[in-house]
Amino acid sequence: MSGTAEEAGAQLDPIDHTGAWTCILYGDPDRGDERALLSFGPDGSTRLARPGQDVSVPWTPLSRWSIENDQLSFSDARSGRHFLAALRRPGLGGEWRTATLYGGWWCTKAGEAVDARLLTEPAGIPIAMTMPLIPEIMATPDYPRQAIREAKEGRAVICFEVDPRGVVHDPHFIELSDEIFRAPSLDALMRSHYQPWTARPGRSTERPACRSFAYSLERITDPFDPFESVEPFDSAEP
Amino acid sequence: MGRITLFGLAGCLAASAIWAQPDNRTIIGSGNEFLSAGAFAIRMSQYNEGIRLTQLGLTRYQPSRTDRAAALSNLCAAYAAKGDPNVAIDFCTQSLEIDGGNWRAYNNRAYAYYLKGMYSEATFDLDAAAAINSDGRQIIQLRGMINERGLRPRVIMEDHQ
Repeated sequence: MSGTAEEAGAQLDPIDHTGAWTCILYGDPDRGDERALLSFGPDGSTRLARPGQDVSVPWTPLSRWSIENDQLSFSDARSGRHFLAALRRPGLGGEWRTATLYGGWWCTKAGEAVDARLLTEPAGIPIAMTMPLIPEIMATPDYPRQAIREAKEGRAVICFEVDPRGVVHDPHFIELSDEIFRAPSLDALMRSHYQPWTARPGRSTERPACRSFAYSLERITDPFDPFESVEPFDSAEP
Repeated sequence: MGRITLFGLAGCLAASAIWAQPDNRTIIGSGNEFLSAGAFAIRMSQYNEGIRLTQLGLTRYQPSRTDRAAALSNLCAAYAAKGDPNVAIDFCTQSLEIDGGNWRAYNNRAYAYYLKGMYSEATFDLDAAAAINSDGRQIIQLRGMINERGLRPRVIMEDHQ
């Protein structure tokens, strides 16, 4: 995680993390991106639900949450993940780790229905996060010229919210390997757009999402000049 | 940018190759007036004149091994600046055969290779120059130019949602 991303939020008041959140968990190569609901009770309880998977027993208890130095932490014994989040950020999210894996998570406040632990509508339709976000415009960042000159490679991860019009809001860097990649990553993200959707009453109107940018350089091999290897036979006898 | 860099490479090389002393004193006209005048002309981008004077300095005087190596390196810089990298490479190679510790000669040959699009060779020489003088501004500048030509940038984006 980048120190600069943490420092940027150093002046913010700690976020109130209690309540239900619509979250994405990423970074596990086997599970892929996971949509989940997280609920933090004022009594220290933490619960997780995966919408659409088990409607009868939707909420799985996790470890109790704790806060130390404005950092929220809790664990999921089933997956072995330990979650951390800096609370002095505009949004709720951070990183998770297991003994061998490392990933991130990002949340937006869930709607009232989810907050009330109602996960399905009367018709049995899962209430939250069943539709994926579909990128409509996915702008590519320009590789910074100075980074090429200095042969710098790097990575950035920005988490943000998407409103029902498909517009990106509140971008926040979760990971940034070098400041040189901040502006192009942010510019590209803000030029991007998702397909709009219809928000239903009781559901959260904003959707959480993250985008990672991997900046890499490939060495171009020297062009082979076939004439360089041709014997001229200047002294050849007729 | 190319011209500015060229001037920088040739100029710096020429100036210190002739005048630089082991204790960093700057002595103008250190005995071989032609070499000094040739170095000055190259610094002023008067490459043909610089080449003529430097060659006179090599033939009319009996320069020391160090001065000869520096003069050949200056000829290398001048020919590279004129856009004749093949001749430049020959002079730099001759210079390095006499004095293999001259970072400017490596740097000049790297630039000549760069002009030919031979980026691997240019990088190899640049690494040699940097091993002798890691702070050389021209080395950093040239490495940036080589990277710009020799590296293909790629950005892979992935959405998590």
